[in-house]
Formats: sequence, C-alpha cells, structure tokens
Amino acid sequence: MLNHVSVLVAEDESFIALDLALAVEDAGGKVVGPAASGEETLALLATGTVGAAILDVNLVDGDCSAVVEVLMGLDIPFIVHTAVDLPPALKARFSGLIVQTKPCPAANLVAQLESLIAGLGRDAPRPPPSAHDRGQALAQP
Amino acid sequence: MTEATQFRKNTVAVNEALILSSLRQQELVDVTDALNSKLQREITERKLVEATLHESEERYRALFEMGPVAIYSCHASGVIQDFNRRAAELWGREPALADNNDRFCGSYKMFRPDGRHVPHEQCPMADVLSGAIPEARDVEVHIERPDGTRIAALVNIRPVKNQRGEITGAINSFVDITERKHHEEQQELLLKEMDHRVKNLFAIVGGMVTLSARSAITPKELAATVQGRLGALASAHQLIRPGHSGAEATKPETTLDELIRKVLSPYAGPAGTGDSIRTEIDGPEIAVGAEAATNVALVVHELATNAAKYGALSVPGGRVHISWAVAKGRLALSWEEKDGPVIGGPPEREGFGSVLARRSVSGWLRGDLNFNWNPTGLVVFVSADLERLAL
Repeated sequence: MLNHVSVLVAEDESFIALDLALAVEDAGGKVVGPAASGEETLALLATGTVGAAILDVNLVDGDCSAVVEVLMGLDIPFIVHTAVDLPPALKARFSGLIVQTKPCPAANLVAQLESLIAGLGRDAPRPPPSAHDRGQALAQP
Repeated sequence: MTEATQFRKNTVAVNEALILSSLRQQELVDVTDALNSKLQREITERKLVEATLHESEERYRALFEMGPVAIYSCHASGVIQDFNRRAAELWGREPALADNNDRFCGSYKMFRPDGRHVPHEQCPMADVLSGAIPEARDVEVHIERPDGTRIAALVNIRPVKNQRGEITGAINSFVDITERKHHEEQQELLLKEMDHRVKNLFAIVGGMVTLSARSAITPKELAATVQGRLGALASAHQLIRPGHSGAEATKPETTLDELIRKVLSPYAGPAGTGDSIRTEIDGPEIAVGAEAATNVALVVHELATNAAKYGALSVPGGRVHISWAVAKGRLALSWEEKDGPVIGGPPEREGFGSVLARRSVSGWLRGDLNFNWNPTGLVVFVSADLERLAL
C-alpha cells in the first residue's frame, strides 16, 4: 500500500491521468495533480509535498527533462510512463531511469511504484498535501 | 683499229648501255609501283583501324560522360587518371589528374555513414588498389564538398588487372543516394510517429475502459459509455487525418466549428416536433490542432451525453445553442440548453463525465469549465487557451 504517500501524477491525456489518479487512491495514496504540463508539474513539485511521481514523457508543453532534473535533485522516486523510446538526450543525461512502457494497466504501474518506494525504505507517510486536493472530486464515481 | 671501227664499237656500246639503262629503269619503276601500292593499302588499312578506334573511343567517352553514374579511374599508385562530369559534380570539385597530392578519391573529404572521417588513403578505392579487398559493392560513404554540403553515395569499385594478374588500376562508379536516404528517413519518422500514436491510443482506451467501468452499473451501460467515448475520439481522428490536401505534408488541423458539428452529429437531427434543429452552432473560425482535437471532442461529447440523459436533448423540442468568441488569446464558449426539462439545481454529486471534461479543459486546454444549473436549462461556460487549442 502507498500509506498516504503523496503521488504526483504528470500526464496530459485525461483518461490516462484520471485512471492513474484513481489507481493511486485505490492503493491508499494521495494524488497531487494530475498535471498536464511540465509547467504545472514544476509548480506542484515546488510545494514540497510530493513523495513519489508518475511522469509521462510527452507532456502538453513538450520535453520533460526539466521535471526529471528536479525529481532527481529532490531525490523523489518516480516512474517514467511512456509510449515512445526515451529521447536520446534524456537517456544520455540521466542514467538508471525507471521506465514503464504504455499501454500498462494503471494498477500495475502503481504496484510498481509501491515496490520502488518500499525498496528505498521510504514508505513513511509524508505530510499530507495542503488545500490543493483534487482527489475529492475524483473519488466520486 | 680504224677510226670508223672505233666509232662503230662505241656506238654499239652506247646502244647496249642505253638498252640496259632503259631495262633497269623499267625495273625500278615496277618496284616503286609495287611499293607504292603496298603503302597505299597499308595507309588505307591503318586509316580504317584508326577510324574504328576513334569511333570506339568516342562511344566509350560518351558512355563515360553521359550516364547518371559518376565514374573515375585510378592508376595502381592511386593517382587519378580520368573522371567524368558527374563525378566532378558530386565531388563539387575537379581533382588534378596524375597528381600525387590528389590520390585515390576526388572528394574534398570523406566520411563513413556513422560520421567518422575517412582519410583518402584508407578509402575503399585505396583498399581495392592495395588488394586489401577484392572489390567494393554498394559501399555507402558520405562526401563533403568544398562548400561544406554533404551527400551520401553508394560506391562500386572493380580492379583492372594486366595479363599477369597484377592490379594496374581500378575503376570506381558511384551514385548519389542523398534524396533516397532522406525519403527513407522521413518514412522511418512517420512509422515511429504512427507507432507512438497507436501505443498511446491503446493506453488512452485502456484508461477509458477502466474509468468507464468505475461508474457503470450494468455491462450494457459500460458498453454504451465506452462506445460513445470511442466515437468522440474517432470523430476527432477522422477530421485531423493528415495528408488529404495535396502531396505536401502539412500540420493536420481542423476548425472548432467542424469538430463540434462532427461530434454532435448523432444529436443534430430535427427535434420531436419535426421543425426545429436541435443544435445551433455559431462562432468565428478557430483552428484546432491534432492533439487538442481529441480533448475538445471529449468535452463536447461529455456535455452532449449529459444533455441527452438529463438535459435539453432528453426531451422532444429541446435544443442546445453553442456559441463562442475570441478575446486576448482565449476562447470563450458557451453551451446553453433550452426548452428542456426544468432544472431543480446542481446534481448532488458531479458525474464522472463532468470530471473528465473538467480535466481536459483545465489540464490540457489551460482553461475553466463552469456549470450554471439555471431552472430554464444548463449553461456551461468553457474557456481555453488558443495556443493550446492549436497544438
């Protein structure tokens, strides 16, 4: 279980974003986002509440390397979720990225994130996200 | 001896000498004639041979110069003996003939397809001349011209040998494949893009099915919901299919008007009364890009589905009026339902379709989605960033 870990979902396709968000909530996590753009993702990361992340490579405003850099810098565990091979520049710059190829059932991706966090021994709950909480809206069927 | 006798003798001698001389002269003339006609024959023969040779030479020269193939030949030492016009064109220069400083290849610089530089003394021609390789068949090299432009070429090299089997030179014919490679690369890019889109579409549909299952009560309802959403995606895809205007690949896009009409077409028929049109669409032309189109289609589809279930499109005579305007780089669209059932107020909980539509508008289109549950009918205001709409 995600034990209230705040998971940032960065994904521009609404269906995939909401599917992932609900899967995170199903697993006991708190959703930060979903964010559709790199700009929005960086703003959410700046709030300092993110404990883990699922990151789509092609966000609406393009390249996600700035986001990857911040995630690496903050030492936040994350999974890159992509339908394409990683851009060569990104691969060359960051080694050891954990990549999950689309399509992949959201529940599997979240389970993978859980084991990643467990492996790092960081499953202690992080402070819950502030007022910004879209999970409430998402929880309604 | 008398004088007379002496005179007679002399006369005879002179006569004999004269006869002899005349005979010899005849002989000489005969020999000369024979020699002359032999020479004449030889000259004629040689002229014929020369003419044949010249003709053959001309024929090969024409072949050498005319073809679309670049050709040059090297002596065993590597010095260039001959090259044709096409070779000079592809090299972008004319190398000096029989010059030790211009050996093996007339190009300014040569590279392997992977970009590594190839010194001339290591080029395929040098390898054939040294016997390191027996010949070269369709070897790809990249040639840099003095002006910095580069071309890709396929080279074929065959050695020329003497009767003892020793390599005395080699002939290289090469063709420009720059354009072909460019087409191949374009094709490759297109295939990659298609592959990406298909995988992405599978991911979207996967999410769509899981999400739709969360709110559906019966399998039948689930099937209908998924069909409706797939239909909206398909409408968007149909409108933005690239390449239906000429050979030039342009950025696929559609207009807001076209897209909304397409998505609403299942609902656009005359109302139950038979005389009014159920959907009225009115606004200036706005470009919608390939990626934004699926999001717009989805939003319109969710609003229409909702109207068909609970709103104006659920009763005969109900209508939807959609209009928009543009100001300061933003789109302001309104969706007004009229002549539908009386609205008691906002629903107790927001439907999943609305959550989905809101996500597309706020996330993708950098805008807002506001529902106003007026008693006379639902009015929805949608704002969106024109830049995002064009993506």
